[in-house]
Amino acid sequence: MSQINQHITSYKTYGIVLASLLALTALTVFVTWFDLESLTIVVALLIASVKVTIVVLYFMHIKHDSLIFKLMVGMVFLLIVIVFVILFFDYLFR
Amino acid sequence: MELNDIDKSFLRNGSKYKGILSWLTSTDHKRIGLMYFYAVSFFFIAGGLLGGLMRLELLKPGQDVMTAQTYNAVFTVHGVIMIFLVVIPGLAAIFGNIVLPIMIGARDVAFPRLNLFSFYIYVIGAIFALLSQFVGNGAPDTGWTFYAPYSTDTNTNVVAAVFAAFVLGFSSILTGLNFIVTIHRMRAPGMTWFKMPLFPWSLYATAWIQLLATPIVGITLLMIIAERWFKIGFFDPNLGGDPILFQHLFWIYSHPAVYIMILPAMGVVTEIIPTFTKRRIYGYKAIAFSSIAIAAVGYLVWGHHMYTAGMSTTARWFFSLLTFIVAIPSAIKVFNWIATMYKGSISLEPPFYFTLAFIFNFMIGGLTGLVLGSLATDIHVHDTAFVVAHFHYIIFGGMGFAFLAALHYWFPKIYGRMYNKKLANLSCLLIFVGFTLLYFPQFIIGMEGMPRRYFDYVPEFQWGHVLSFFGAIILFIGFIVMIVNLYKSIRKGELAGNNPWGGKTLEWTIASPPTVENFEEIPVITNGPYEYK
Amino acid sequence: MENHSLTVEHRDDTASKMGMWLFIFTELLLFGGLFIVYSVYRSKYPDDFHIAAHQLNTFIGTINTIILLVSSMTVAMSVTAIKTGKKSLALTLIGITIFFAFLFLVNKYFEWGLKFEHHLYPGSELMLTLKRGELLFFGLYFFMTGLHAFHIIVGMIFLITIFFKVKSSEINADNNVLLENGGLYWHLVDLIWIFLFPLLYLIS
Repeated sequence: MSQINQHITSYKTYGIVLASLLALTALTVFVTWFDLESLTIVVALLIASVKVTIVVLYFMHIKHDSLIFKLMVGMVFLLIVIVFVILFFDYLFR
Repeated sequence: MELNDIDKSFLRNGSKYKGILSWLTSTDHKRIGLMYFYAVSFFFIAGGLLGGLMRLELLKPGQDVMTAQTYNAVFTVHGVIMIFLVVIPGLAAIFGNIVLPIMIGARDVAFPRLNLFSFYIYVIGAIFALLSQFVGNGAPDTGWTFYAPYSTDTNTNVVAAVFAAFVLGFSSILTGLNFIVTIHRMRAPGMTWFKMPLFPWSLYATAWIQLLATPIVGITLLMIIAERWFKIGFFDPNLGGDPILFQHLFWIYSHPAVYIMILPAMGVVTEIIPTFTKRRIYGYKAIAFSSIAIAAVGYLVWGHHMYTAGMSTTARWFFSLLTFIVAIPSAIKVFNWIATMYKGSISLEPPFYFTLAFIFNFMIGGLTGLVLGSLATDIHVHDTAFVVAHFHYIIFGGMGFAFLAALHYWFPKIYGRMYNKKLANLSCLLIFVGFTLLYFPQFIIGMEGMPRRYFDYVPEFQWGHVLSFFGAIILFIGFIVMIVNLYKSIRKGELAGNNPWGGKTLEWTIASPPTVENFEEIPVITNGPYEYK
Repeated sequence: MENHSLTVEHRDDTASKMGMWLFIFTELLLFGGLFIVYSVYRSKYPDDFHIAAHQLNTFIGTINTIILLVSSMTVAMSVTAIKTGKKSLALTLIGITIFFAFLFLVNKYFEWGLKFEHHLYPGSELMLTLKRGELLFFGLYFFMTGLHAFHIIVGMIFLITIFFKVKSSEINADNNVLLENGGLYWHLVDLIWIFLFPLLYLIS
């Protein structure tokens, strides 16, 4: 009855996405050769977040999906982040 | 209505098998809902009897009918059964399953086979919970909250019990998943979100909590198993772990879980009041959005179970603030319910009586929740009988009465017959009086210092326990009256017809009981759900 | 979880896909609990984590990351292939994905084997002599990579099932939401690893 959106991603796009992901992987490994002390985790999480965003948008097709999917995904990630933040209200201030 | 309606209904049709097999293999949401009903009722009675045993032990100080160890095991299994087997599945799995598709004009849920699978998972989880009582080293004695480090050290069958909860969690998750997709994709033509009745709205909010919160307790329970089997150290201070982290992880689920319990209950109340006051619901959008708000903000308050555990002051302050904020949408609902009744044409029928009792009990439960939510007063009443009274007022006095209201509201729809209304009203009165006598004294002795989960106590608290015991007896009698009334009426009650209450939502437009397909033709919706006068 | 539609006439692919996404959310929250534990103990024992992480082989970890990223691409491409009617290309791509999954597991097997050889596993006597933060790091390492590997196995089974359905043309250009859903599940497995990799292997 109802078909999902008709958008079909090209092989080329997927190839570019993979190349970006590999480049970011190289970057995240490369960065460990520098001692960033407390910034290490921040940089690692930032790069990982960019990678995850790319995977969700392109490989998982969210970029071309209807709004409801975008909202749900965004909401879930936001919830996870908020829970972490609140949890650290305890651990950071003990 | 001719007898044929019952013969043509889902109660007698829908499967190529005969007898009990036709039910156990059925993917019909109405049959699945009823199977949940029978299973949950069985466990409610079991859990209730266990509660009764506790009250018997507490009638006098000192050891009376069981040892301290047994008492610990009894309150643990009472909690595990009531929480995981009764109130969390409760309204959603029973009335959500039976009524939701019909209310939105659908023939079934989005994934009927997944629905049946969820029921099987429930049964398997229940079996593990029962096993934990009888095999191995004895029934767990940790409380249903399984706090580390005791739960990782005690010799009793903690693994079986937490595994049961883990399995039951899957049932809850999959039901939530099913309902979210059902509500998004299967509303009848013309039924926009804001033409959807408010019980489905509450089920929608509930489903998101089931989906997103349950996995956290799932992984936490696996961590308990990993601690016990592999000494993984997450919660063991000797290995560098933090027992408070267990509490965080546990309550990140278990607080939203209480909204799984109460949101559908509020949804039921929101359906019943318009029907018995012949008035459009006051503030439809406020009620719809408040359900979502409760679900959302409910994720952010878990630490109010942990004020005395050792969290930072910042955390305690934050959780207290959010706890007060989350009370607001609930209060909005109560206001709207009362406003709906104002100048309405009230018909005093059993569902409405149960609903009034709900509102009364929920107010007490909710207000005492604020006493607990406030840091300073909580220090005084944490882990006392005050807490026990609070949550029984909300879960039993609130959700329990809403459940009974739902049962008396939709009984004629499900079984096609009406029960004896006088007996139903009597049972409501007995249950209400018994309930009040059972739990209200616990507030008082709790404030005076009676601890919770204690098998013994000082003589000055005895008066409260004696009152509670008699309350339990009256409650018990009330339930007997109710069960006998309903059970007899299933076979012998007067035929109810399509719409004995004059309701306006879609389930009242079809036969009682419904046919397998619910609707001959899927309706096209043009009105809102509560178009009275 | 495979969620088939009610009947052929009432097939609702969007509902199927939504169901899969909802299930993915539960998996994210499931691993989220472990990430919570990780974050608490890393903030509490940063130096111990640093020392313990040296025991992990960054090279194997990087290889495994590359394996998963490539396999994510191949399964995504298989969806394009099936939607454009290229059945044998789709089969090849799914096959490559499954093979890479298998490679990942082989690597994992050797990694873990090495740890066991060195007595570095939860509950071992050596473990109890380590610093507390190191002990917790290894607990997290085994739990998280173990749970992740379990999901790889589940994903493989899912993809193998899909492979045969593509082969029999049950999944085809007009009916392929199951392949999309299998792909989504596989991407989830990839997502989790994208976070696991730097947090476990790249602390130093």
